[in-house]
Amino acid sequence: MKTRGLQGMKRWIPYLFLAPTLISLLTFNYYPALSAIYYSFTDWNGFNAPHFIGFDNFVEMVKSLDFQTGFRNMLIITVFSVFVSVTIPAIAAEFIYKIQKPGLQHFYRLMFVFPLVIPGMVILLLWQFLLNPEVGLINSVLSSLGVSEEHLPLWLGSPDTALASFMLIGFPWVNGVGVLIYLAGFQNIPRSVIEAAQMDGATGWSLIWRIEIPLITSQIKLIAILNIIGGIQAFQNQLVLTGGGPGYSTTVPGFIMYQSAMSASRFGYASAIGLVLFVLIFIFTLINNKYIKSDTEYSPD
Amino acid sequence: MLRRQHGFIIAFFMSIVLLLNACSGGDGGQKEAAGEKNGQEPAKEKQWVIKIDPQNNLPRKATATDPREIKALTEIVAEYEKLKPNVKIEFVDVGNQDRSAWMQARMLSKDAPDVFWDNYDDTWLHYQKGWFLKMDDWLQKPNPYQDNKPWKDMFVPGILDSVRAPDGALYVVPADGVGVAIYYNKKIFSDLGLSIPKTWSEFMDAQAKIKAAGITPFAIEGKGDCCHLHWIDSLISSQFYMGKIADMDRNNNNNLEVNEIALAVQNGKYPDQEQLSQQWKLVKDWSQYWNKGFTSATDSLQMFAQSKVAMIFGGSWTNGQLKQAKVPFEFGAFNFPVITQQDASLATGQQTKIYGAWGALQWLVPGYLAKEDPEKIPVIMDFLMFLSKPENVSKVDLESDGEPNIVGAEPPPGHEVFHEDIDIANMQGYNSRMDKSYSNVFLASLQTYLTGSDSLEKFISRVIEQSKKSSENLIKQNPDWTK
Amino acid sequence: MKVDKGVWIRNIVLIILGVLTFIPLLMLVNLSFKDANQFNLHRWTVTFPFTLANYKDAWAAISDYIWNSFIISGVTVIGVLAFACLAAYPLARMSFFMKEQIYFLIIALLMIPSVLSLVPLFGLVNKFHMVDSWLGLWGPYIAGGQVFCIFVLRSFFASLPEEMFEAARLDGAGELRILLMIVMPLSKSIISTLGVLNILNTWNDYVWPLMVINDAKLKPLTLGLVSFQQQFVTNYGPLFAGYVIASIPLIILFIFASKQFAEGLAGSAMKM
Repeated sequence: MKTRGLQGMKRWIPYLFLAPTLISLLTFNYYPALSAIYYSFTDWNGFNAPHFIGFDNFVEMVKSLDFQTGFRNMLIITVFSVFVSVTIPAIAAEFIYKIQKPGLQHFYRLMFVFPLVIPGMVILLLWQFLLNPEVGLINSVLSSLGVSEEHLPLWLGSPDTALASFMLIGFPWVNGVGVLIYLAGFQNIPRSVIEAAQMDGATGWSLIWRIEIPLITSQIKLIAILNIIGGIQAFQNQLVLTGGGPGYSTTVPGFIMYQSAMSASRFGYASAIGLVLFVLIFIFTLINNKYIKSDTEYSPD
Repeated sequence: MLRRQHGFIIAFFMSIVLLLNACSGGDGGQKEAAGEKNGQEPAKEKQWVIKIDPQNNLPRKATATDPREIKALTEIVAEYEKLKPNVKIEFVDVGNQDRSAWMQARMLSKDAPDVFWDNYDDTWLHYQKGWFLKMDDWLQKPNPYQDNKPWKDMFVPGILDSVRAPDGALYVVPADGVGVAIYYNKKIFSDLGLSIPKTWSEFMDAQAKIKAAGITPFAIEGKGDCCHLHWIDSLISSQFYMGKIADMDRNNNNNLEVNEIALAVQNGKYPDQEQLSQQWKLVKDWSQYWNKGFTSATDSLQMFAQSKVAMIFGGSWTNGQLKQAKVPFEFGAFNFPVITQQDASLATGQQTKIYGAWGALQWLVPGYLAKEDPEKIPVIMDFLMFLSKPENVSKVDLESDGEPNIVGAEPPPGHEVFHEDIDIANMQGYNSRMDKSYSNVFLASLQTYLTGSDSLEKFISRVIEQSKKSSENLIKQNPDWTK
Repeated sequence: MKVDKGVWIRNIVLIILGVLTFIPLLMLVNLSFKDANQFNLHRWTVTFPFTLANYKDAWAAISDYIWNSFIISGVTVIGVLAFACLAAYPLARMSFFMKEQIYFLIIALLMIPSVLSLVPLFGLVNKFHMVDSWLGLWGPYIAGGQVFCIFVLRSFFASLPEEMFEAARLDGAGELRILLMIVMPLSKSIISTLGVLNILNTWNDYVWPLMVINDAKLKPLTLGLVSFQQQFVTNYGPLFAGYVIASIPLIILFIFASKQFAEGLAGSAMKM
């Protein structure tokens, strides 16, 4: 009797543990998100009762030039940001991992992690000062190196270079969190695996390519997904630096969504864009998990 | 064992809840206490607390980094509180960033300050939601602080009409406004032997000389909807339309509002392809003298302070900012030059200036008060009537560089340029000409044209196409406009 | 000899990457000491004298709010970590009905653009009468912040050796006791790392507090900083001084947590 009661209780333990999380998520995350899905089929202005308008928002979206251009820009920016944030922190982490002195390892780690304290706004202001075509540091340096006035790039100010300049922001793209995640991956590789490979004659590059990279696939996948999610949603650079211009050359759907909601009070339309972005992220996540195999990964369980 | 565990979990969450309660604010309690007090002492006059968001007039002390002290409102409020001991005025600090998110939140939670700020043309996006109280009836009432004359008679003629929403109502009381002018670096001008340009061709000649001297002639901030490209549009299109809007100006206030433009588009009276083409050709020609990369975030005032640029757009507020920046040279200001018929055949040859009610003293009262606390409205209005006294507005504007819209109030010294006898622009810039879609499409197309990737024809045709779309949408959403 | 060369290259590359990553922080500090003229004319070099008035004024403008930010971020991080540990543990070490579906429901939240739910969320918080109270910040912050932590902790908890759990259960320890006495001490550094990352997010948030908090006494420091900023149009020195002051608590936190950061996320083979 007693044991059965105990077992009965035991069955509920996982749910009890999960209760605070599930309750808080359902209230503060799922409810607003689901209502946004509903609003995407309405003309809601953020205040008055919404009217159902079917797929009008979605039709308007795919027909509009800014969304089309923005969608393309978003794909380019996201592909680039996924690429640099997968590779460069991996290089930094691999180098730190290979440095055998714990003190030095510690030092480098802090060096990459510390700059996380700088507010994003400050970074953008600094890049604004750097990239200004007339008074910015980069063009001053270029012109003192002898680049003539008419060959100085306009950076964010020209439709030809604006998108590329966006990608430059954050150079050298070493994200502290990425470094930490990769380091965790490298440190998880059991010494025995490395030693066995070394006995087989693997050194230097072949060790990295054949052993280490396959064993950090799950970290690569994670960072890729986090950056796909971030890249598709991001619009801070547009907000601060270009307003999506010149023309639509730097706009992205996330920025159009922000503007529609915040400056035009078109929450229905904004929600429709948001829904499309969510579906897109969802698809990418599935692809990432299905088709990038990490079956060689070392599994602790 | 298990029971103890569950006890622990419960205790854990209880303690979090308690912690949360303990740490959250005590404001609600104070409000209740105040209410109780009122209930207990019905004999005494009811106590009121009026909260006001004074935007740039928020009192502050002078400091080493910013020597400008703001104290006029504090003094005026002290005087008022002495006069009305049952009223207490509190200032609320609202940052100027993301104000739309702030306003949205305050209207949903019904806790906006009793008097708050927004640009009158921005309120045209929101009045339909009932966010703002109609001020019309109150403005008809006598102002006890001004010989019981109707409150509306204190305002300079025409200014109230200029802030009327498309539904004809007044939601904003505009006690002050701002002007826009071109600021110039006197040292650069005198070094190059230049004088203030009066006409468009003189203006362009001066800029050619400045550019030849290796200085950027004019800095434009061309990112986003506000403000420089918007002003250029307003100033120049008004020069084309001066005296020519009678058949579109349905309320005869000598200014075209959103609803009038929308109807003019429907009736085929606007836009005019040839006019647009002449106007933007001028601007394209002018843009060779602008800072490079003007469509990205630029701080024109900073470039001006660095003497990297000879001229910038500025407003009433720029005087104070340049003083705060302690610029190491003398500066002056002049009005936008006149476009003669030699410059553009359709131009009227009449100079225009931007002068309007976009000041810090734009008073809005939350619309929900009519239901939630109607007794408070007369108390708020009484305070606003007191604030509108000419000497009060002069005092506030002296500190914050505003231009009073009150008869008998004095603009701050050094602001003569904004009060020159020039016609006020009768067309708004693209950002408040129609709806947000229009302003987005217009800005993007203009940027593409000015940065050289689109032809003038393509730009004009996109503008005309979007004008039709936006006017249709606007009229569909506001069927009463056609009446 | 060959090994030596490799070590040199690695160190040089790391130093270059590290310095470039670090430069913005130095720039921020450098600019925070400039007055308007120094900023306009000698922006990229160190200028003397240092304009300490920037700090004095920035401190006066934001010091009232620092304590609020402490409590807001502090309670948030405690809530986030408590919820996340409780949730990650069964997801990692127990089997139960709908486990995978529940995990997926949690993780899917990383994918929802936050701008989208801003106004519906505010409507909700308003309905709960949490406006103008820190509850309106804590609720959504804790709910949103725990997702990433659950994700990381689940994989870390899963990687702990099963024998340990068996031994504890044989000793009659309950699940909560195992979590508190065995799992959490072993995860100290990963939990601290997640905590620090969470504090970073909460500390710098602006738009949500702007909507929720009306009472000046309850405002976090970001709101004070923005009001301060709008005084200065061309002069970034005081603003940057404000940013530096706002970052100091975070820097102190980083220094204290540096040992944990050194171990970092080690041990967690994270996967989606």
